[in-house]
Amino acid sequence: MSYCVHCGVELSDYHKKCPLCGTKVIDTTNVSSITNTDYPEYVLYTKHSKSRANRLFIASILSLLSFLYALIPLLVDLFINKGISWSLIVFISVSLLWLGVAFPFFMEKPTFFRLFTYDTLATSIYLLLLNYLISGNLNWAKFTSLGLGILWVIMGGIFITDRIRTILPLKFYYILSSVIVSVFFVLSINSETSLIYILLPINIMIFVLTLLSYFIVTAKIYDFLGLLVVILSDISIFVVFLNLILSKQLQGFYSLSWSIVVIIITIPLLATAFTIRKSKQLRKFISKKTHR
Amino acid sequence: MSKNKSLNWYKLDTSAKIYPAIESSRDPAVFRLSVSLTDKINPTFLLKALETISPRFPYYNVTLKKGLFWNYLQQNTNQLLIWPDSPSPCERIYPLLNNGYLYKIKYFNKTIALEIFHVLTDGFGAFEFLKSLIHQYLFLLNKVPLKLPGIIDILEVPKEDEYKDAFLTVLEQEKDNLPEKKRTLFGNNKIFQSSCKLLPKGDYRVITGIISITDLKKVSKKYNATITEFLAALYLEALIHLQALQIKNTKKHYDVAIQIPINMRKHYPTKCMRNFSLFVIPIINPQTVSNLGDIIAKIKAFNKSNLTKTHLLTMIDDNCSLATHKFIKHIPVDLKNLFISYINNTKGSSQFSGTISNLGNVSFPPQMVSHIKKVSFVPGPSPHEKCTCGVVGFNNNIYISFGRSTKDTFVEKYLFTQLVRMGVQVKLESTL
Repeated sequence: MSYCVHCGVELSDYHKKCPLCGTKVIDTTNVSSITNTDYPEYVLYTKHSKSRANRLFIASILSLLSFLYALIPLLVDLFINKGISWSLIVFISVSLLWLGVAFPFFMEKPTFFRLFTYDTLATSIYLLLLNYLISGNLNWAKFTSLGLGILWVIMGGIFITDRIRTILPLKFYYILSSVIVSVFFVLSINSETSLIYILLPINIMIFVLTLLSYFIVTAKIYDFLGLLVVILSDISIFVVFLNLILSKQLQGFYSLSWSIVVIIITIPLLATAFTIRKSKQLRKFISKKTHR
Repeated sequence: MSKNKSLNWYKLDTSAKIYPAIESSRDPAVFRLSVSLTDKINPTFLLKALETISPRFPYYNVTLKKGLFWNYLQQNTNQLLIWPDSPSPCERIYPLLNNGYLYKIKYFNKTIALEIFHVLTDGFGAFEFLKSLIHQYLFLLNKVPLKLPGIIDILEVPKEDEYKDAFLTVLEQEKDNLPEKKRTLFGNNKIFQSSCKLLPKGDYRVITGIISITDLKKVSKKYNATITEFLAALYLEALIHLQALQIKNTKKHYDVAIQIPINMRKHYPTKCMRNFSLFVIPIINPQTVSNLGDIIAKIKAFNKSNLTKTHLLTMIDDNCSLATHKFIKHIPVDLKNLFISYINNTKGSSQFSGTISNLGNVSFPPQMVSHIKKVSFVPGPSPHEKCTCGVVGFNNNIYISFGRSTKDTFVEKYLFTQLVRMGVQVKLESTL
């Protein structure tokens, strides 16, 4: 029978050190063999190192194949055209494939979010390079890359680590990310002035409505009717705003046309949901009529 | 239970519906119950015992299937398996590698363990199953008679009450007494969660402290508390000290909360063998307590207001209302699972700092007690809480098991050393 000199707890016969503080058992002559333990001995680390070796082997094979697939077109292009032209497209395509398929095997801890980050970045770079190689400037690829960036920001909020969450709460992460994305958005459509007057206000309206809705929903007790009221309000405000912006751009003046049709549907629904939520008697009557 | 040609199938009970969505290799939703006997385990007899008792528990011998709106449990007729125990308990159960079954019977040395996916049952149901298995095993070794009081009769036909959703039954019984006010599903308080680094996936360490019930009762009586209240308070105190260690600036300290499962069978007697537990979460603001006595007082006050029939009914109503919601019911299961998983990862799992689950004092018939050395209950790993606690009492001893997914042993070290300081002798057992 041995005791830990620091913790004061009694240790089992098989303990060579205290499981709480790691203090070694001074007299190990009475430590019984490993077969008297309550659990089998831990051996996970050997399995882990074996699988790591396999992954490196696969990664090496895939990398070698990618290198050959990228190199051969380059050499053919050089030989036939005495320069590098179409083979660049093949090269960047194979590079993207390597990043998506082979690179994860090199990673020690290939988590979903890490892989998603690398793939998003690689795809954005690939599209930008492709756009530049084909048309000599960056036009359509700016928007696809921005879209991928927005998707990454949304996924980042879901996978954001606990450590970052203690420094930057989730809602502030989304606010900050939206502001940064909006700035990039404005910079990217700087040359297309007509788009600024349509897309920028719409983007700001979506951002404001989302933020307001988030605060309203989190401030109130969560229930389906409350959420429905908020969503219908958002839709009504958004379609009116969109109608006004588009009419100003296309007709030169503000007017409401098609949005009236939409709000004719959403406002009564909103009012109904709000009334039902407030009235206990009405809720009881409806549930009595529709229960299963 | 519904008849599907010749095979039976079962709906998931209200609690079980979330587990297929949140289950992962870091959070397998598996817990472990084990019994150590006086002699080394014979695997042949153990498998025979399992095969003998399995028809009596058809709702455990199932496989998980996907429906359009919800998952369900389909009866499984594949060969039953038993496994040698593994160094890391509470591993994720892969049905494809387990002949479709959602539980594993493991054996090592003199110990028989049941590791079961929470979708099947809670601690009470699992323990009844394990008790039956141990009894049948000992019977096959000619050590105990076939029928014993307190052990489920394996020759009996399973009753409908055993596999019906007890939450819906209670809700049906009490529909005229349902309180008006709905509970807030998620609190607004920020709760402290340990920032210790996780061990590699699949690595789960367990430390069990064995304490005399008499000694523990003496100490808890000094604070005028029950054993559960006392241990919960000590656990909370450990978490408060852990936060003080990890976050030096006291102004940035969050509230500390623990999740305590409540066996609803004590409040609504039923023969239900599926999930029938609710979770209460006492929250402590570290700034408002200065010693263990203060924490115990807060827990007592919390229990007084939350363990009333009205509040428990509110909780059952809330739990059932989401699952039976008209709109939610008709959302496809894949979409529902995505949403449940997201809510669990962002809101659900951040509501508490740890879990302490007390199975209470378990009893065996006197004829079996002489063959049983000890019992243990280990809750499954959680990447958010990082350290969970299971408590079970047997034969004048209490077994407090801490399971952790981190290298750090601060919480269990604090709890056990505090008990030693109070004059309670603690003997430790652990994974190696």
